[in-house]
Amino acid sequence: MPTINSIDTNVGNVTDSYNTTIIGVGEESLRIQAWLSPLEPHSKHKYLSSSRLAGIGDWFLHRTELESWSKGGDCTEIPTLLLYGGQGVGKTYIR
Amino acid sequence: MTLTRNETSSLVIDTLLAQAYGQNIAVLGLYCEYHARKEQSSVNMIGCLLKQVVLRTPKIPDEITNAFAESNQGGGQGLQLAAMLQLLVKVVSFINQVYICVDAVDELLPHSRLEFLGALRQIVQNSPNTRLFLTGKLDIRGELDRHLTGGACITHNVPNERDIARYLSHLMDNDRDPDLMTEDLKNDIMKTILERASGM
Repeated sequence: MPTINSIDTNVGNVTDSYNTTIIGVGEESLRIQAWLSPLEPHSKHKYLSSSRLAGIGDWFLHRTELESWSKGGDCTEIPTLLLYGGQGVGKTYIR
Repeated sequence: MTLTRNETSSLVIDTLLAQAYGQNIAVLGLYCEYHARKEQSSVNMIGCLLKQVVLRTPKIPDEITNAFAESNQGGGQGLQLAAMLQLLVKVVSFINQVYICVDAVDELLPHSRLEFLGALRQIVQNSPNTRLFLTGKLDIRGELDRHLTGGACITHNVPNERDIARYLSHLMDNDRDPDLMTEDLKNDIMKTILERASGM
């Protein structure tokens, strides 16, 4: 499994968005990141990852559509998987 | 009462990340949120994908560094959507496989959503190594179908009994008064809720 890596640089400890490895981070990198976008989705992702109960949703991972899509098989001409949730489905946290 | 849409997206992202570990594969994720819809403009969303590419690379691609330098010379303005898209397409061409996961696209402002969906379409058209996973309410199904047409796989997020049972079991095992939560009561609660969830 991937791990969160902390990198000591001249500008302090920096961790990545989605647990991939950052090999080098500097002041210019941080400036460029801020210039590219103010959005920071990693904090929401971390919260959701830690709030999920183990095992819940495993059935979804075995859906044929998801497996085909992620493996790049014969799923689509346009490699897109859309997951629709109707009103009242998936809007409320189970906690 | 099952895995929420947000959680489904995070589960997909985490699963892809685990599969991608050690390979030249990028998993990029965005969570659209109602309260952040003004900030979540199409250009900021595409820029955020680019930012995540920057975060996973040991050296910032020259294309980005050069664009940043040019921008600084011109007063530090951010890029326009077309330029941001062009940059993203160029940079992801160095990656073997790119997964872009976007949660709750229905939460974006309508005009931002249209621009953003158009941008995603351009990305998959110009970057054959890119795959998209989007979640959204059924209300915008027509809109998504129009922008991302052509054999897209569609599935529905419906309550799953096993998830419900697992969640209930978790709640009852952590009941504040375990002496009152007898096995009979647990079974009764489980049976009643599962029956109702299945429409019986």
